[in-house]
Amino acid sequence: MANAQVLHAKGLCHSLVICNQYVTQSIMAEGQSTLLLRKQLADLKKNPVEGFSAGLIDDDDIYKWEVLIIGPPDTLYEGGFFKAHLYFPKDYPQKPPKMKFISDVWHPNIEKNGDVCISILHEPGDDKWGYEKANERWLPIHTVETILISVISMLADPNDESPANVDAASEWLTCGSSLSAPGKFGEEQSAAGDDA
Amino acid sequence: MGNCFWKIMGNCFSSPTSDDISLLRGSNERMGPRDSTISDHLGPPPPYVSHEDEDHAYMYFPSPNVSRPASQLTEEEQIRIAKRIGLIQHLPSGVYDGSKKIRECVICMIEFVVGDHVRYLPCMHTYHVDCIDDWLMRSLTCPSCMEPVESALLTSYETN
Repeated sequence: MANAQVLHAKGLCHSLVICNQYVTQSIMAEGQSTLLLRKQLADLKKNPVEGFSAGLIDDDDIYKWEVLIIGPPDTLYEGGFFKAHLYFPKDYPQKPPKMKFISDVWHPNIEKNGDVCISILHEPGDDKWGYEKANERWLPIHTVETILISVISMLADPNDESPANVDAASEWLTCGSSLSAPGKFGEEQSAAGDDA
Repeated sequence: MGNCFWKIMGNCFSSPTSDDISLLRGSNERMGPRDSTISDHLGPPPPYVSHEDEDHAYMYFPSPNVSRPASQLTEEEQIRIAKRIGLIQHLPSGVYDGSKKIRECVICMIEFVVGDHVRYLPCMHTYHVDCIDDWLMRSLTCPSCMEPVESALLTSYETN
């Protein structure tokens, strides 16, 4: 079917070499994203990265990932395990995935519903709030690994300039890291976390 | 160069009542019935046409967070996008010759194979043509070093 569309599109704008190329390209995008995500999944299975583990929510859908993040040491999240989902678009890596924590996480840059608000998951372009530099935005060379490394670093070091959870941000600003509300920062906080 | 660029682009975008825009629009309308003949015995495909628009009509990016099919672009946006396509098409490209210096396209993470079409950005980073062109339509920066392609290109023109 895809081939029929390519040929048909070619027939219609045969003189438009460039348009032609882009039509074909959009059809190819799905194959490319599938390949790339499969490759990353295989790489992560073979060489796991410290700090998180990753897999698919459903083995038949390469576009939906489930990750388990270990609360970074020496942070309020230490000792906790945080489950999150990544939803990749069909035109990944040209567009970023969306990330949502399934575990409750109390953090200035994570919405109360779990949506992660981090600049590298935002598409490049005019920044309507004026907070993000272009070089901190999404790039097509980001992988599950680089995204999670950024998210883990965000857990340790929140960006208080553009909070997604204003209440968490104001607590962070007023109490800073002296804030001790065990359990508040993650529902899956373990016993070790409560001791801290 | 300018001439040939506008000749190419003129086809695609410039005239407001452009045949080619309606041609692009037409291509989707006409694709529907053709597909239905293929899938006749599979049952009626009514919601398919609109679905296909979303999935397969090439989307343009008048500004990076906004994507629209060619039929819904303003004239100003068409001109801006045409200029961008022209600029991208003039970046040097070539065929991978098996050089050991660059091995992999960091966008698709696939190793270059001799004969692959590659594009060289002014910062000398190299990608598959298909991988990088799609990105440059959204953002005119090198994904590896984030150097703005446009200004780098101008600088290289000035120094030559």
